[in-house]
Amino acid sequence: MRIAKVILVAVGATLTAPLALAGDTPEEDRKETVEYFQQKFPDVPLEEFVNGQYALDEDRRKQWESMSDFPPFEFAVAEGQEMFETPFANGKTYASCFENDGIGVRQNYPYFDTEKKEVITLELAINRCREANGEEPLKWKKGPIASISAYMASTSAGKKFDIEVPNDDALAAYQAGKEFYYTRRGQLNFSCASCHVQNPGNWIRADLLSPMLGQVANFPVHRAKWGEMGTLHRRFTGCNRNVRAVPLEAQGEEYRNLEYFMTYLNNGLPVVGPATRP
Amino acid sequence: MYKPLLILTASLALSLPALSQAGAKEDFNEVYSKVESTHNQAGTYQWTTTANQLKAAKEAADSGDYEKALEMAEQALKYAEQSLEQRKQQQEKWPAVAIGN
Amino acid sequence: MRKGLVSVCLTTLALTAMPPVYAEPTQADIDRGKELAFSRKDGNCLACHKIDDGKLTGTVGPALADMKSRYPDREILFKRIWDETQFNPVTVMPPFGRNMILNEEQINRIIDYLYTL
Repeated sequence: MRIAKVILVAVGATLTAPLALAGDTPEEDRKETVEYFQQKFPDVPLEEFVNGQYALDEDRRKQWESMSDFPPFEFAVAEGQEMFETPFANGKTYASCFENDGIGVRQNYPYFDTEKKEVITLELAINRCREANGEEPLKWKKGPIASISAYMASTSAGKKFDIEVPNDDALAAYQAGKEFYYTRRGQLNFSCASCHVQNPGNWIRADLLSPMLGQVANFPVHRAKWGEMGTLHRRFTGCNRNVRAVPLEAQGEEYRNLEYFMTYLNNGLPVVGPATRP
Repeated sequence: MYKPLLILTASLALSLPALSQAGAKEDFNEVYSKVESTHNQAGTYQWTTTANQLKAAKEAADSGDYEKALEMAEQALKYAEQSLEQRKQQQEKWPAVAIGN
Repeated sequence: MRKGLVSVCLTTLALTAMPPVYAEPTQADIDRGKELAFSRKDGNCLACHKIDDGKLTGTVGPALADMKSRYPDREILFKRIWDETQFNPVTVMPPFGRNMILNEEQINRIIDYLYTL
């Protein structure tokens, strides 16, 4: 970590004259994060980090590759497409709510809405679209919303994440997400970083810990443990529970800010959701 | 001469179990509301351990066992206080372990 | 000669105020300690540490072996299980005592078991 910082400062100093303090900006955070994980895992190509544990362990990767002919999320993608294309009672469709009719846009989510001053995740946008068209919102963690999100991600496969932090309000949301990621919670006293920054590549029982870099890029996921699809906020809930912390509201401000911070770090990395995980 | 005193003592002794039960109920209610407020102050740092313990204490109270309920609420209070302490500490300590700080 | 040493030790023990002396644990204490160390809802030590005949052990912390030579001072081992963050602020090991995941008695049984490794 310190080495990464020194290298970055040295490189930066030769390129630009008045360099902001290292780590002051999201972009500095992102560069240092990339540097940190590349030093930790020198054999893993940068683009591979989006595959989480499969980038770190050969056996797990082989099991994963053997599933790729019949991925368990295929049904959800098909179902999601059907729902996405079926008009609401008012005759409009989801396409009317999104840029480019909602095709190939996953890499821009979540984004910061400078008027509403809040982070808009893809799932939030899906439900707001429904409500704007007189439909009931969907439940946040699984089922139809995960399928629609999976379909939309599938149309964005390979596109590079491009999350922006447009103003100070957005920066505050980013910082709040960062603080959440690094603060220890629950009776077991773990932060997200305890596992995914300090211990990626290590095992907790039969679970292989994934690196922070690339997390989020694969959502929504079909987990063997769930036996079905789930959204990122469903996963957040589970992580919090594991450390005996009371989970927060799915799509509440805290989790949306967390998602914003985590996804920003993936800028330049490809969308690989939907995906499968143990 | 001693009679009134004797009666007083006897009646006190007789009412003691009821009194202690009533005392436990009051004590429980006091501790319980203290746990609730401490748990709330923990904000996004609440423990499921506290929530579960609080629920169990409430159930014991609802079944009328205030002695047990009080004991459980006191344990819940310790959990809640520790979660609040965690919140205070972490808000200061986290930058030390963060990449880019 | 060894006998002589033992008797000297015993005399010293009797004459000076010693730090807390722990009674030799019974087999039941040791068994209870192992149970607490392995149980997921109690110590769940195997989540991070390789221990003894434990299955599906984690790799986050060091293997727990030779505990008596690594921790000759029982007090220190107790304190580290109670709250390792006091020794290493960035540790990910839960503060078992401080956060009331285990009580004093439970930690002592676990130490009884660890000292057999």
